[in-house]
Amino acid sequence: MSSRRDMEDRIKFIKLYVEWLKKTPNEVWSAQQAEFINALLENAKNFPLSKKKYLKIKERVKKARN
Amino acid sequence: MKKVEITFEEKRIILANKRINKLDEFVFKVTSILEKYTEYVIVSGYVSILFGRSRGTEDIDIVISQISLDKFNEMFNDFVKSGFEFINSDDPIELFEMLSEKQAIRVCEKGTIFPNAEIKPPKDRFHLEALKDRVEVVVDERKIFISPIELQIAYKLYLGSDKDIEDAVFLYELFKEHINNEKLQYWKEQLGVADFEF
Repeated sequence: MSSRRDMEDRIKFIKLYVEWLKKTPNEVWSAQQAEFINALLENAKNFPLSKKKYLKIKERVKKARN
Repeated sequence: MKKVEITFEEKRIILANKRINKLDEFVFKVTSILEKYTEYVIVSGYVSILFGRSRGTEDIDIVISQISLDKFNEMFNDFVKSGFEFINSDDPIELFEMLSEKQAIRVCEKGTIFPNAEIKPPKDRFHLEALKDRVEVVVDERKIFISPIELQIAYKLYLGSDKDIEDAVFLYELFKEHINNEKLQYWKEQLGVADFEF
């Protein structure tokens, strides 16, 4: 968890971001978003992780959350 | 340039002219198979990403209705034929048993891990409500079903990580002129997050 102040700053940023989103045509914001998400997924291909290891990590995260 | 907004109708949201990214493509492929065999609803952070939140995710949470073994077998074969594989097991019986025991199963495109869809049966009444009251989102020619926005916001607050709270704030800010505030307050109370103020 971030500090309270960090979280407040991030929430302020999200509010500003949504303001921008609302006045920006879908084709513009979604083009930027596609570039970002596609790059993330492309990089993820290089991440050396087996299915077994991935499931173990997810299980650990779930336990920590509960 | 033509400015396109999001259109709201009863239980339907139309999102036109969105540039489809690889995560959207993945979701469309998975849901187009799921919907042939069972009802489904997307309940995860992908909902906020769909509408423009600028963040990544490696998995998409999807709640499905109860499914028979025969239907599940058909669905399994359809996924495999369409180039998918399951991360947990290659055995459809084992996967079906996992679902029957309220465990999630994960499906991804063959030879990958990311992104993947975490497919699960409803684990509580909030999931059941999300399925019952699911909202159709039309993205150009395609349609997918997501959790009602009010429930999605409250549930994200309940989950409570930084990322979840940010998703909740994002959805609230984006949809605040259209959401039903009574419903939102109801779900916030049910989930013990009534005190959170946007």
